[in-house]
Amino acid sequence: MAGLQALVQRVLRALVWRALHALLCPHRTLISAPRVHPGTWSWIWRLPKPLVNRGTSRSPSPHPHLHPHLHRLQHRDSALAATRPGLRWRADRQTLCKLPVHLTLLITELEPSFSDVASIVVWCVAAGISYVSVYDHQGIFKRNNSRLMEEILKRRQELSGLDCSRYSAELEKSNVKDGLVLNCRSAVQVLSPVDGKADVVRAAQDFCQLVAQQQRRATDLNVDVFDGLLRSQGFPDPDLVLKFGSVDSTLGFLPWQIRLAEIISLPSHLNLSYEDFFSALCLYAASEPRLGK
Amino acid sequence: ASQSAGAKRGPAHWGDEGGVSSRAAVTCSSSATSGVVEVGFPRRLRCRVNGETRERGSSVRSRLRATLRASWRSDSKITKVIWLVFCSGVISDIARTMSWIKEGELSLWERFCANIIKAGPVPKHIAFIMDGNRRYAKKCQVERQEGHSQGFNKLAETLRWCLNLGILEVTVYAFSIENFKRSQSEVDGLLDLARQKFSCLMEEQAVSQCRLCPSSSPIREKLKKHGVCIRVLGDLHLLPLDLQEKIAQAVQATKSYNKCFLNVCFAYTSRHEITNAVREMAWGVEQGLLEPSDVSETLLDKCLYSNHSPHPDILIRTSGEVRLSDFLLWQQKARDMYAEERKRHQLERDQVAVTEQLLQEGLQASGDAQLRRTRLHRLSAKREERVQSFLKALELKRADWLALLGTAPA
Repeated sequence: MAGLQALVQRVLRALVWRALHALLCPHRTLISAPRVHPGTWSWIWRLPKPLVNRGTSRSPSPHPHLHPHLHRLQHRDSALAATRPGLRWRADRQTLCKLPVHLTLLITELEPSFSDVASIVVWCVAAGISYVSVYDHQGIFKRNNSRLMEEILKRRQELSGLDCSRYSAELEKSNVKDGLVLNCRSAVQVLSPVDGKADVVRAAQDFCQLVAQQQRRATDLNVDVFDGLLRSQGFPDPDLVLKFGSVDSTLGFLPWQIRLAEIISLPSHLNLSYEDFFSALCLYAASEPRLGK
Repeated sequence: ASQSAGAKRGPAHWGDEGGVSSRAAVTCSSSATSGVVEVGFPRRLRCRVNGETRERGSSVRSRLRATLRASWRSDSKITKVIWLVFCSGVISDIARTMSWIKEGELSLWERFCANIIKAGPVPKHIAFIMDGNRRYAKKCQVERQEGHSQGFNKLAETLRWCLNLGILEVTVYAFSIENFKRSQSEVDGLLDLARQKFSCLMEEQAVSQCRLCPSSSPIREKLKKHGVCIRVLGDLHLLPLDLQEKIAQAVQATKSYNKCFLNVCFAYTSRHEITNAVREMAWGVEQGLLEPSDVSETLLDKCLYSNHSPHPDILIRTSGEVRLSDFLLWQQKARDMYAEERKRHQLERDQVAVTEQLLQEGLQASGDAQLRRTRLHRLSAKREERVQSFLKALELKRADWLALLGTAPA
């Protein structure tokens, strides 16, 4: 009798859970529905798997964090943006009291769009950000590095055609691996998980090799020494990470380097509007890193 | 990592769990005689303490003192008794708020909600960054130390919720190495708070010795009842010696419990944790227990302070900041797309090593496939053996250090 009571209670709780789930997260319930076998009662216990790495891009609704800034920016003249972006960028840049030195675009969506990412990179460069990286955990950008760089140059020429003097393309073969220097002010690089944990392991192996050869002692190692052993291609640690997609994780991005990075989430990089991008920069400008103090 | 939950609630509502205090207060106000003073006081004490309802600048202790004085001044003996009972209830509530795990069951509604949530997937490990204590103290216009104390109380309540929801592993970021940069008085205050809490943990005789926790059962028994294993992660050698000893005693006392786990990160940053893991591997190479080629991601994982815990499923940061601030950077969960590639690289390296070996022995490098296979197998078996013996030695080294500290004379 007690066993039956417990079973009934379990079933009821599971049903209430399912009802709440359907009410609060309708799109997740729809996606998980095909996995359910409605013929048997066991569907109650077959719970939908969490949406890790699905990277479903929902309809681009503004992120709650960005709301206050978004309303303010909607009054801007969108015609101005279309015709004279150079002027607008200069004006916008002056309103920001703080700009990140190194900005990363972290794409968690499964199918990234090269042209959209290229646009965002060009906006970053136009805003005056010196170092820009692009990361995705599947390594798609890394494998198609040259295609991304072509898109960036194409977008850059399209947009900078209106304001040549400031953004003249000084293309040079740089010593940045998997990247390029767009002008003497900005550099772009492409990253993947091999640049994160794998690089830390490589640095650890190198140090242990030195210890085995008795050139260093184990006690010589501290945080600064180890930092020096890691490969950074001359890029400083990221200040701002713009995360695109619905996955709430950095997906293995440079674990050592992001200790103080602000992580701002945006719903999707597909058709991202300039206003949303600028709002994220405004959010960063308003942040106050206390550095432990 | 997730963004912060932006929790803006106040600390625990005192007097809500203990039935005695609320009932006594009701009796007081309903049987109002000439001797009763400040009838409104119990209700204010019972209210949720947040920036809006709390009286500015008041501290509980001063109000308590005023109430006690007032109650003794009243003529009626019954009033005196009722006030004493009520005040002792309040004192025990305050004392209970000092403990690591809040006593008292959840309300009916909370239990109902918890049961519904437990019907779905529940994370196995949650990590908390307890941020915003000083901002909270500023908002309530109290001392910073009070803010930190309230933060601890909230943590205790959160641990209770986690236990009830079946979340068996919790990691909290209590004190960062970067926090040593704060003013000396604040750092001393924080370390004193830690000393208080860890001392409380060790008290066996609740009534006689521990003035701070006159609850019915000592905290140590509560930990035993719930099977809570407390681990403290961080560069503990940076802390004062007496605190190190208290921590070691607490960890030693609870190390055999295994129902749920509380990891307190004290004097911790993730970079120091990773560096320490690499240093331990370098120590292993120095001692001849490891080869440099044995260093791998899995081995690094096993050398971290948090090697006994799975990676956290959720990271919660209070107060609205969107940074990781050097917390559990290595332990991010991500689908490992490169495990196969790493295995392939390892196999290639082993092939090269076997080829070298065969050439050194004067044999044909690409000769007998069977011989190559045997050699490869032997190579990886030897590596596995080295790694296991190194890990055992590391575990022993850490346990010995803790045991030495834990048995040091107080």
